[in-house]
Amino acid sequence: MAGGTLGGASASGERAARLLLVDREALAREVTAALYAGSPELLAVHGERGREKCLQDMRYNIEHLTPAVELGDPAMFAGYVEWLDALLRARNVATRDVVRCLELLRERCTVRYPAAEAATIAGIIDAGLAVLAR
Amino acid sequence: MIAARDAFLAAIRRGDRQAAFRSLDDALDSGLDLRTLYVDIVQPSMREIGRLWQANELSIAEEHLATAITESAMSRAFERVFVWRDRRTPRLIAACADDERHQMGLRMLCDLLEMEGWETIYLGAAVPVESLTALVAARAPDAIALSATIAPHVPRIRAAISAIRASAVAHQPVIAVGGRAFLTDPSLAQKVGADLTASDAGEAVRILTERVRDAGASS
Amino acid sequence: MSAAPPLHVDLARWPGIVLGVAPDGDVVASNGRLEERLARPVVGRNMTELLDADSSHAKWARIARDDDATTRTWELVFASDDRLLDPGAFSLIRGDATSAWLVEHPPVARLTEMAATVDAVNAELAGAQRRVVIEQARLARALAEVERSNRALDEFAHVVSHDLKAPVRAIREYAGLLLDPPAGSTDDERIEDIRRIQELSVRMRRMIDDALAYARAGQPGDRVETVDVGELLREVVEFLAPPPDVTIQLSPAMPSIITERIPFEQVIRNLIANAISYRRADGARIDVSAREDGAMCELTVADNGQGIAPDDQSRIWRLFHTSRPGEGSGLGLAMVKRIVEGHQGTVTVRSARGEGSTFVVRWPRTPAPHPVPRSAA
Repeated sequence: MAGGTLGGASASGERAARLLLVDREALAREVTAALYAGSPELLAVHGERGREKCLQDMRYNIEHLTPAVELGDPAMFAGYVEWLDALLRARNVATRDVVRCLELLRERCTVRYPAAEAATIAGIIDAGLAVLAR
Repeated sequence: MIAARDAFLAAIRRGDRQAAFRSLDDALDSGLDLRTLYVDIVQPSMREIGRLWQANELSIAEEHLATAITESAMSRAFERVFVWRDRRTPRLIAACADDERHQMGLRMLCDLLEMEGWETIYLGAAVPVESLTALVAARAPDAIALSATIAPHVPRIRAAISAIRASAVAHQPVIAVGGRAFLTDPSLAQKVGADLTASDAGEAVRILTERVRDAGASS
Repeated sequence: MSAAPPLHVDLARWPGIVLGVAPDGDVVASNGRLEERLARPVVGRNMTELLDADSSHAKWARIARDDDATTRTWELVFASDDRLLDPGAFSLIRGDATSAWLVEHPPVARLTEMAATVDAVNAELAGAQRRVVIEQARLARALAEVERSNRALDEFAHVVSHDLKAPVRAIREYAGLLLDPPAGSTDDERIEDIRRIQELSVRMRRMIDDALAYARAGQPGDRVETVDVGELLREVVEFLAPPPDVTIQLSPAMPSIITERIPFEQVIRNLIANAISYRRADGARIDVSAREDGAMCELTVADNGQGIAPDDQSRIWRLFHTSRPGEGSGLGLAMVKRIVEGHQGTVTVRSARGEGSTFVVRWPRTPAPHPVPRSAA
């Protein structure tokens, strides 16, 4: 058969991606809640509208994390994070805020998911964090 | 031609439809062909618009408007140069994994292939995988082109390709993928099971023509 | 994500005055325009502070009362004094005599929904537009085919009535002789007359076929496709199977064009066949070349044969003309001219008696696209 093989996707990656897919709304809410719990001034400054927007952004992050996990492609997620960081910096959001979100996301995944899948996901998120550390 | 590109970009940036149409009309009048229009004027302008939005120099509404105007301008340019050929071959089926917007690269590919004598069946966005595979079985294309702009849409392409390969097609088509999701990492094309990828419509036309010709010669 | 912008990013850039007002009336966000207008801070103040008259307070209390606990976005539109009576208007700011309407912007979710709908409609239209362009071009060719048939019929009728008069008259005369034979005519003479009638009818049949082919020639309507001129020339030469005493030289680099293959092939075939027919006795040579010249393809067929005298050069294109009566139908060059001109091309000849002939055909490299008006200025 001509052309590419369906390589690159490991069984663990596919399982982890499925977990993220099924869980994405709950996960997004948890991470947003954790973020706001750690920084009470956010609600005061940006109000309910701000929190809604933060939740929406979190859903978006998870949507981009999932295919990278499924295909075992850390560079894919790293590319997204780099693009997102540039986008947000142009809108006066500091890189450290992005870092904090990713760290919280990583933490929540480690708590929620079995060790193997959590490790797979953490590996991909770390690729994103590495880009921001530069 | 740089002047034409600057004129077009400036027009779509400020949302001036008529000026955008005029700049492409002038480019055609000055003797530029459709390929040059698409690859050297429209495509770089669209990428610049994307960059400007990312850098917060353009609002999302302005970006939407620029995209809409560009789609319209492309249709008008295509209409001016397209000539019907009774015998169009080879055949391509094209589909976009994104939801409605960002179909331009795929449209460019189809229009340019038509100018080379291909028959292109352009399905647009949001095509269910079952419909796509049914159409592939019915029309037996020589090639298939799939595009995706963002990573979340890449798994859809992977699913579509595996469904197409699995269905009992006598003559396996050459499968090409493209779009921003595939730009930075060419190996992603392989991961989803495609035969080839290209970074712009012009290159895609060239590579597809070669691959399909080779496939035809060896069959 | 922390630090999300307080107002939807587009409203922040809105040229008008936009405020985000909490359910309790406190201004929680502003795009800065009102501060510019009033030259004082606004965020943190309550709307009731900004409104002066009691009637305004009451109006505000009425419209601001809502079960929805979210911050709402209001745009202030300043009106001139004579619109103060508008019930929706508020007079604003102590000491400032202007009144302002309060216009509520639809919630962002609704705007996003509307934007998505616009995108979807736009994409559908773009797809439909593309299909229309292709279909339109197809129909234009189909229409040309229908018109071609009609015209061919008319032309055929015209040619037949003109050129068949002579043989028809001759048959009538012979028939008359047979019905009313002159005195002393023999059986053999009568059989001869019948044979002549037979020959004339055969000739008429041939002329009808030729006239039909001529009438059909030159009209657009055949299949358009990509034609490799070099490949086509090689096929034609092979088909004609020229005798060994003539050399046919094809120049190496030949263009590809988009055209109707059948008439183009017929032109080439007739020209080369003609050159073969009128070749010199020995050392006969035919050179064929083709090149792109702007929008046209220029095809040259040059032979070193007998040549054509200047007086004859205009006559060679006529239907049923031949410089060798009895050989051939005199159709070849007439067909060439008719086909070439029918496809918006030209054909010319340069020749002199004893010095060979060079035929030059100019043929469009692509058919003209369906005419489209330029965009309005």
